[in-house]
Amino acid sequence: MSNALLARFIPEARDLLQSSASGLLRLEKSPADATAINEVFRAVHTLKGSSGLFDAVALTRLVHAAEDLLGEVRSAQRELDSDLVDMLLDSLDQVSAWIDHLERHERLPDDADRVCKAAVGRLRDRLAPAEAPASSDPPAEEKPAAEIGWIADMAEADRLALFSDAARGHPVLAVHYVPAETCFYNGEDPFGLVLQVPGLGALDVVTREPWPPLEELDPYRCNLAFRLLASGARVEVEHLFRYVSDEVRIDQVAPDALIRLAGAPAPGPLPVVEDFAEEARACLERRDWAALRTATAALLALTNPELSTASALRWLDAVSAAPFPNAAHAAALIEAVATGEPPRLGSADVEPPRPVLATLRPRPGTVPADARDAASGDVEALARRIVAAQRCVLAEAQALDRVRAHVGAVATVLARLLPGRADDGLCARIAAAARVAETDGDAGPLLDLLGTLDDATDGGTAAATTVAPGTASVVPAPGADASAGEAARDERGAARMLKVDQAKVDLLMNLIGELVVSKNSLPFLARRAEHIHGSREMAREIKDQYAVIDRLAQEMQGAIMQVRMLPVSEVFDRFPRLVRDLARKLEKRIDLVVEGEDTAADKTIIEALGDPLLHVVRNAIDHGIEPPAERRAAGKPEQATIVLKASQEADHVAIEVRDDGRGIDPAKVRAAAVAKGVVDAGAAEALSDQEAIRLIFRPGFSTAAKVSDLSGRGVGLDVVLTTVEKLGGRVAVTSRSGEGTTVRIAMPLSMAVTRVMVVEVGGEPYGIPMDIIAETVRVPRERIKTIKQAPAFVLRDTVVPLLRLARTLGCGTAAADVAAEAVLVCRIGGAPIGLVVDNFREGMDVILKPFDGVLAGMRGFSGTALLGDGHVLLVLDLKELL
Amino acid sequence: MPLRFDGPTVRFEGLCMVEEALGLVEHWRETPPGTVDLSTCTHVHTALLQVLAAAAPAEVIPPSDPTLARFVAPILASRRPLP
Amino acid sequence: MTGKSILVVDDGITIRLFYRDVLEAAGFTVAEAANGVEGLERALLDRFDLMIVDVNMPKMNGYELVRQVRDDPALRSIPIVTISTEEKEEDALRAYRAGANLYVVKPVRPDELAATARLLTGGAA
Repeated sequence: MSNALLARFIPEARDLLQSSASGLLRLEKSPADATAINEVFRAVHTLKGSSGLFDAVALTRLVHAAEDLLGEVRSAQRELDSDLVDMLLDSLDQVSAWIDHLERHERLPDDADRVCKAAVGRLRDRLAPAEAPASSDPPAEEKPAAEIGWIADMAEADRLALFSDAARGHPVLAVHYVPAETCFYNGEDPFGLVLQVPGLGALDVVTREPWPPLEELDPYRCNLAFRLLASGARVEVEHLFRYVSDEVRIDQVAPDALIRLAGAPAPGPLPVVEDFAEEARACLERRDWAALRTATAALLALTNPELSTASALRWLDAVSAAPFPNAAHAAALIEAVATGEPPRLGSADVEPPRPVLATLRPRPGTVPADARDAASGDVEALARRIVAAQRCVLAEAQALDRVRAHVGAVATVLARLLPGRADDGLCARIAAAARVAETDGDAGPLLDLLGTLDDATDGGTAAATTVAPGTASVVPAPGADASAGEAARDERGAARMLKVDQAKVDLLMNLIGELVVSKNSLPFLARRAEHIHGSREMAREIKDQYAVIDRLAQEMQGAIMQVRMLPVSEVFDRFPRLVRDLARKLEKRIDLVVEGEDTAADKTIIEALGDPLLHVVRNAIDHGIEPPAERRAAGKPEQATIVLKASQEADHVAIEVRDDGRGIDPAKVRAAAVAKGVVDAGAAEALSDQEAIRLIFRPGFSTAAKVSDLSGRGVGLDVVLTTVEKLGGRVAVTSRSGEGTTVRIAMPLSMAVTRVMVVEVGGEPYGIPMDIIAETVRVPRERIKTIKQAPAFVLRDTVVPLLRLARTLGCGTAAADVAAEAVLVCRIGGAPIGLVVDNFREGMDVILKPFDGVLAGMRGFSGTALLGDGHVLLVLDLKELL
Repeated sequence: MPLRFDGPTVRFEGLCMVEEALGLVEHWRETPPGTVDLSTCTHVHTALLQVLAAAAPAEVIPPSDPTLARFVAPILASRRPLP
Repeated sequence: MTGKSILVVDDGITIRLFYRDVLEAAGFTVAEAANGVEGLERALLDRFDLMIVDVNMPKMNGYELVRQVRDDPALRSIPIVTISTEEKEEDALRAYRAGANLYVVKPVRPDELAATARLLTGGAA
C-alpha cells in the first residue's frame, strides 16, 4: 500500500481515536447523550473503514470488536458502565499504540495478533451475554445446513469448539479455497495464507487429482484445495484473501450446520438410554439446562465414545452449554440418543433459505449486494449484477411510488451497460420503457423487459417493435450545466481546511525569523551609509525602505503566528481521561469541568503547558481532593469538582486549575518547609499565609507525608514553576483552608519572537529579555552604597541590590573609571535587582534558538540569536544565572 | 539449509520454503522416503507439504508448534480427491 | 483519460485518498466531499458521471444524500454507488430504496472499484 496513503491515515486515525475517547468520557457522564454515542460510533466506524485499506488486520479486528460493542450501546441494548468504558478506552489505547508503530515501521508489531486476540476476546465476552439467542434471528446470509456438505468432514472436536464460539456470537464462516495450479509461481503459499485465517477452527484438505507416484509429481503445481471453518469476521477473512478472491468462496454457516454426528451406530439398544431420555425430556421441559448437562455427562461416561450415541451426547452437552440454548436442537438430540437415529434438527427452526447476497444471477427481488464475488477479471459478471441491481432499485421504487425520481439514474446505468451486452432491439425497447416510466411513474413495463434479460437465452426473440414515443428525455437535464459548473469548479464556497505538516509551518516560521533578522541589518547599513560613505540621503532611503520591510515582516509574522496558534483543547483533551482514571484509582469522586478550551496560543506554549498542568492537576487530585467520606463529614458534596479553565487576557493566556478540596494549610506548609530546610523558622514565620503557600513551589518541598505514586515520582511542584517561568510565564496559587485551591498559570500567547535589549559587557554584546527589564538608569558612583556587605542603591525608596554582570560572566570590565554606572533594573521573581553593565545598546526582536549539541547543558543562557551584522548574540537567562 | 538429508530421514528446520521442494522430490526419487522430522520447523511451504502428502513417508514426527502440527496433519492426510 | 468525472463522498480522509488513487489511475477525474451536505453542494456545482457515496457519514448520511440527489431533477439521473461496511441485506435494501444503483460492501478491491466505475460511467468497454 502506498506510503502516501499511510501518511494520510495516521493523523486521521489519531484524530478519530481522540474524538472517540473524549466522546466516551462524555458518554460516561451522561449516558443518554445521543450526540456523543453517535460521534463515538462514527469515529470508530470510520477508523475501521480506513484501516481496512492496510495490512493491519489485527487493528481492524480490534476496532471492529469495539464497534460492535458500541453498536449495542447505541441501539440501547446495553448500559455503558465504567468498566465498559475502561475496556473500550484500553482498546483505543492499544490501537493508538499500533498507530504509533505503524507510523515508525509501516507494519504492526509482531505480537499484534496475539494482543488482538486477547483484547477482542475481552470485548466479545462483554458482547455475548446480552445477545439475543443466536437461533432466533440468524443473519440473513447464513447458509442453511444442507448446502455445505463438507462440514461433516471436519473433526467433531473442531466443530464442537466452533459451535461454542457461534453460540457466543462469533459467526462461523465456511471457506472453500482452491488455489490456482500455478499459484507457487506468483509467490503464493496457500497453506501460509490459510494459517492466517482469523479464528481458524477446522481444516480439511483435498486433492484436485490423486497423488501420482513421486516420479511423476510436479512439486510446483498446486494440487491441493482447502476447506476450512473459522470464527473470524467475514470482512477480515475477505481481506486476507483479497488477492485471490476468485479462488475463494466464503459462506456464513448457521450454528446448527455444525451438528453432525460422528461414529458408528450402536449395535443394539443401550440399557439406560430410555431412563436418560425420560429424565432429559423432563429437564428440557423445565429448561433446567444444568440438570440436563449433568444427566448427559452421566450417560456419556457409560457410553463407548466411538458410538454415534456418544457423539449425540457431546452435541447435546454443547447445545445446553450455550448462553441461550436452543430447545429444539436439544430435543432433537435427545431423541437421537434415544433412537440411535441421526438428529432431526427440524427445518422448522432453521430459517428458510434466504436469498444469498452474492449470486451472479439473482432471482427477482434478490439483492446483489456484494460486488466482491465477481472474479477480478470477470467484468461481465459484475455487469450482470449491476443490471440485476437495477431491477431491484426499480421494484423498490415502484413499491414506494418513487419511480419518477429513481428511473432516470437506472436508465443512465442501463444505457451505459447494455449496448453490446443485449441486442440493439431490446436496448431500444428498454430505453423506451424507461421514458414511459419517467412520464407515467410506472416501472412495470421496464421491469418486465429487464426480467426477460435475466433469463435471456436470446434477448431478441420477443421482438415487439412498438416503441413508446419519447416525450421526456432521460439524459441528464441541463440544470447544472457546463457554464455554471466551469466557473464554480474548484472554487468551493465553504472554507477549505488544509492539514499541514507542523514541520512545514516551523520552516516557514524560521524563514520569516531569518527575514526579520536580515531586516534588522538595514539600520546598520544606514549607519554605514551615513558615517562611512557620508551619504545621509542614502541612509534616509534605506531607513524608509526599512520601515516598509519592517511592517511587512511584522504582518507576515502575525499571519504565521495565527497559523501556529493551537487551541488549549490540544492539552485539555487528555485531562478528562486522566482525572477519571486517577479518581477511580484513588476511589474519589471528581467531576472535571473544562472551560474556554477554544482559547488559542502558540503551539510551543501549548505544547509546553502539558507537563506543568499535568502536575498541578495530579497534585489537586492526589492532595487537594478529599475522599468522599471526608467530604461528607465536612458537609461538602461527595463529588468534588476540578475546574480547568483557559482564558485570554491581553497578551497572555491564563490557565486556572481550581479545586474545591481541602485547601492548603499555611501552618502545615510552614512546618514542612522548616523541617525540610527549605526556609528557616524565622523566615517562615515572617511570611504571610499566601506567601507561605507559595513555598510549595520551592525545590525540595513536598507536602505529602509519603511519596504518592501519583504526584510523587520524585519531582515537586517546583518543576511547574521552573517550566512555566522558563517560557516567560508566571504561576500564582491561592488557597483557602477547607474550601479549595486555585493555581493560575499565565503564559505569553506567543514566544516565537523574543524582544531583547542588547547590553555590552566586557566588550561583548549580550541580550537580556525585555520582559524582565523594568528600567535602565545611570547611577552616579557615590550613590552606590554597601548594604549588608553587598553593593546596592536606592531607587525611589526601594533598595536595589547591584550585581556586576562582568563578574558573574567572568569577563573583564571595559571601563572601570566611569562616573556613573549603567544599571539595568530587572525584576526577577518579583524582587528588583540592578545589573551593572558597560553600556546599553538597542532593543531588538530576535528569534531565540536554544543551545543544542554540546552546549545544550549550558546554564545561564536561554539561547542564541543571530544579529543583522552576522554576530551571534548570547541571550542571558537571568533566573538561572543569579 | 532448512532441510537436512540423512539417508531415509529428512529433518525440516526453521522456515522451510518453496525452493526446497524440487530437491526433496529428487532425494526421494533416489532414496525411498523414511522418517520425516518436522519437530523443529516453524513453517512449511505448501509445495513441500504436497511432496510429503504424495510421498507418504513411513513416519512423520509432527512440528512442536501445536498450531502448525494441528493444521499440517490434514494436508498429510489429503488423499481424497476434490468432489 | 476517460474524461469522466466521479464525485467521492466519504468522511474518511484516507478512504477518499484511496478512491482517488485508484480512480485517477483508471483515468477518471475525481472530486471529493467529506459528508452528505458537502456532497450535495459539490454535486450541484459540477456535472459528475458517477457518485460514490459512503453510507455512514456525519451531518447527512449516505442514504439521505442519495434521496436528495434523486429528488433534484437536475441531478437525479447520475448513477450512485453506495459503499458500506454493513453486509446485511436490509442495509442494501435501504440503499436501493433511497435510489442508489449499486450497493458495495467495504473493503473494496482496487480492480473491482475501477471496473465498477468504468461500467457505470460507460468509460470503457
